[in-house]
Amino acid sequence: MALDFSKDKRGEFESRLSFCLLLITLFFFFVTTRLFYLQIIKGRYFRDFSAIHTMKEIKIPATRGIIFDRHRIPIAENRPSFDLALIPQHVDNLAKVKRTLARLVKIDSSLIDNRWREARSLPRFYPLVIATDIPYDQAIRVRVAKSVPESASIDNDDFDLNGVEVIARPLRSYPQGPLASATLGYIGEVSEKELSKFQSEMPGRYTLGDFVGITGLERYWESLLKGNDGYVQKIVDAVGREITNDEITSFLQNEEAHHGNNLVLTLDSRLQKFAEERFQGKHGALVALDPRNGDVLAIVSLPSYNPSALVSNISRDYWTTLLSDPNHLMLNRAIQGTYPPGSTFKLVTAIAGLEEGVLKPEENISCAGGLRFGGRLFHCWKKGGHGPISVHRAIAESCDTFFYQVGLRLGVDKIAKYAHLLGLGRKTGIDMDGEKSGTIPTAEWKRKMFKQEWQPGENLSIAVGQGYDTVTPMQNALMVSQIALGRKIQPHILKAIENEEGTVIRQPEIAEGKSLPISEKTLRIVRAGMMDAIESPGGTAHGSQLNIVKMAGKTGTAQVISEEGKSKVKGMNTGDHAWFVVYAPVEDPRIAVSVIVEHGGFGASAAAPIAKDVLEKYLKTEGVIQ
Amino acid sequence: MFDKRLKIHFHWPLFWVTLSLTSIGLLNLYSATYNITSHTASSLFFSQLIWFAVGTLISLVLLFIDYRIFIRLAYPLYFFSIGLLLLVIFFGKEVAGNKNWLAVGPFTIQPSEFAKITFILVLARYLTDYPPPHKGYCLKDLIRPLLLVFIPLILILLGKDIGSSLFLILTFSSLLLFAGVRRNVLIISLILALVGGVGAYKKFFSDRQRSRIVSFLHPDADPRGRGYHLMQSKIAVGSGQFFGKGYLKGMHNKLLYLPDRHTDFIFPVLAEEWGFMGCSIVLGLYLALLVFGIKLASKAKEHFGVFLALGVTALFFWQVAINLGGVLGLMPLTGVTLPLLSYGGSSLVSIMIGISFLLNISMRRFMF
Repeated sequence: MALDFSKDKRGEFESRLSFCLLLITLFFFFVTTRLFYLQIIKGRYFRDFSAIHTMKEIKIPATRGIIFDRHRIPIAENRPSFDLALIPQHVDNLAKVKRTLARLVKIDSSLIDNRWREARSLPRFYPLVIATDIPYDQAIRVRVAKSVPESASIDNDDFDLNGVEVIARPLRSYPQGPLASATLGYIGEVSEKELSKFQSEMPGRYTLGDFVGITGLERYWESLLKGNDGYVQKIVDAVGREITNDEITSFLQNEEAHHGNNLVLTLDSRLQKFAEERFQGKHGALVALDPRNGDVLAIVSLPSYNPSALVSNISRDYWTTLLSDPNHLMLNRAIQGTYPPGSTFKLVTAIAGLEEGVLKPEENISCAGGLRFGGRLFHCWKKGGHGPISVHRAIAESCDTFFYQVGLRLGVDKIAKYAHLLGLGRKTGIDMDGEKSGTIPTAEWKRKMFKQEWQPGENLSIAVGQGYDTVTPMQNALMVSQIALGRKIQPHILKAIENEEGTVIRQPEIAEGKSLPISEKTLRIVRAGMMDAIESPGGTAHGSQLNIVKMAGKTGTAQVISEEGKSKVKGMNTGDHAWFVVYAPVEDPRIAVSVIVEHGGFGASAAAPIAKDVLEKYLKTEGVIQ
Repeated sequence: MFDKRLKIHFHWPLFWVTLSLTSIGLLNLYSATYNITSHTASSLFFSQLIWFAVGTLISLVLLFIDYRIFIRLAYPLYFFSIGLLLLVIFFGKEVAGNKNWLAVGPFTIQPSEFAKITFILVLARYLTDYPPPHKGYCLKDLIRPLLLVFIPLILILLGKDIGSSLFLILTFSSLLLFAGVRRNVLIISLILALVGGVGAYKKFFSDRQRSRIVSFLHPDADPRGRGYHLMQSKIAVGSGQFFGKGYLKGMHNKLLYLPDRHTDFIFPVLAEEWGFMGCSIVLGLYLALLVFGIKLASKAKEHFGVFLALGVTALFFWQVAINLGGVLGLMPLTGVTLPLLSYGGSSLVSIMIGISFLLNISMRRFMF
């Protein structure tokens, strides 16, 4: 039926409008009834929900992934710990809460005030951690006090734990003590700035008070190690006690925590421990690589810090020590320390000379204890000189004069070309945070940096690893590994990542590297020279010879020129750095080691013995030698 | 020159009801956007104030124009709004997953809100030009109005604005049903609506929108998602009890338990702070506004006025009904705003335009 607007059919029109009015009124009746139900009949119940009974979500923290060594021996794992937190929204009387807490636990009440002030800008339902890692008995005491019914508590007038929470949280522990600390890194409470970064990158995974990797591998693999927190929803009453009435709790939800992924490293923790003990009392770094696949077997940087001391309740003194110690305890010297390579760089110069044809394998260059160039005398370390000397002996006996000459013939850019080929002057690309690239100068580089032309005299310095040359211990280990095998090698420290069930979810692909564009003939000459540095009586490292296995190496003594003035501690930073790079066994290289002992003096006496011991220990445990 | 009769027939009650609702809306929005830690309202409130001023200005201008001029302007305005909708599709700004905003200087406008009004105008014009035959419209008569609704509908759906498209369909159906259709048309359109609804659910709805429907049908399936929001909404409403917790004291909404509390969930904010008492007053004002709308339709002098008044009233009713039904758990949450209470400049302005049409119709009902 349609509408007719002529006067006589007005009735139909009116009746439709009345029908509309009826519908509208009916709807409002429904809504009002619904409101009456929600606000009047169930009002008390919902009021309790919103004001007195509060739904809380209690976080179940995910356990951080474990860090294993190559034999699945844990280096960093987790232990249970307890934190005390306040939820400002539920705290009615802070003074009373503080008094109650003071009776139960040992806690600094000025710290509570500080945190309380800091938290003003945060939403009031955010838990405010006021004490971390409190002793187990104190945590239990608070929990018991909270669970005693109100009527039974001894002194009601002065008892108030509203808004106080004991939060269980797994914390990092280091079953083998501090080991490879600078490499593993440490974890700490996330800063507000970092938090907003994490929250925008990985929504829902980070909240205030979470612990995150601050340095090292803990930071590099943070997103994989962290895991996903779960939660339990609870209804609690006015005094913070849980309500377990079925009707109320029926819609609550729980979500299990998903633990972080485990890291399996290529490190051999026994070798690592041995190397660190062998290094005790000295400053410097050691890197041991398996040249066949680039596995990092040991990575030492000492002195370092104790990561256990940074897990919780870090004492102010310890922080001050960490930050102010002139020895840079937080620095990972193995990849972040850049040192002049000294004579270890002669390997590069030798290879460059032979490959570029400026140096014949049998050619003898005469050493009379130094070389006069540009009006200045460049000394050889051997005052009396080596006499006529070939490249083979010049490597073994580390003749400076010989390499001054080669350096002059080559010039800076050709040296740089081979240094780069062997992995110096650029990041090795190891899967770790904060690696430094060191410096290998070129004429172009100097023009850019200093707006000056390259001086021919500088060719002499860089040919023997002084001047602008700087390398990291990791780069030097890579260099010697690549010389040993004649192939490109990618050093890496991650063997596998496995999920919480232990299934491998990621594994770096280890492809056999391409051959270096260096002739086998050149490499053979250099390797022979390196072998005689140890095996021949005139070699610079003959004292570190091992009778059962043949090694090939190169000593280095890096002059420390300008550091003395910078040092805060008098007499600390004087003396040359001692280098040693080595691989063994010569016929089938299984391990390459690079060692630097800061201000250790001569490479032969300070660094070579450590490298030898580490190498011997490894070859023995691997069963290569008895 | 100003006709005295215009003043005599000005519908003061409708004016006061609208002003009361708008004021309550602003007051409540201030609370909803109020930050309890910094003790300030968010800039949203102030931008709503500006929009209120803009709306008032436009409404005043409209009151001085005879609404019958819109009989002629209906089609141009309709095509203008289609143009705006096209602009949205190409240059639109995405907000919360929905691309239905157009940036104009510092302001963002939502052309779909204005399209609702221009659609009512054009439909009223059609129903005036082709009054329903005695037995009601047959299928053939409906081809043109269907075309009129489908063009903006498709464009709005492309912007993923399910709410606005729903109102377009509901307003269209309400007006046509009122005008009268044949029985077979009624049956066919019911079947089409069913098929279309299922199709739209599958094709156009986002996961978020789908989950709202799922969580209404199975509230236990996803308590952290929409079901959780409904639960929080019910807690906020219920906890208001009879007198409410007091202005700015609705801790449940202040502690951020309520999602989108300045738009979709604005009513629970009011309910928590003003209780059953405050809600009854607001509901009474809404009811009064709708009753005035119907009454004005019955008194309008010609078809255009009748259908314009009915269209505005229908649009208003459906928005109120779907929002309240959603937040009170009577029907699925659709994520639509509550007229005059929710934040949203375009919505506020277009509703004020609609109401000024009602006032306009009232003012000129005795002019010949």
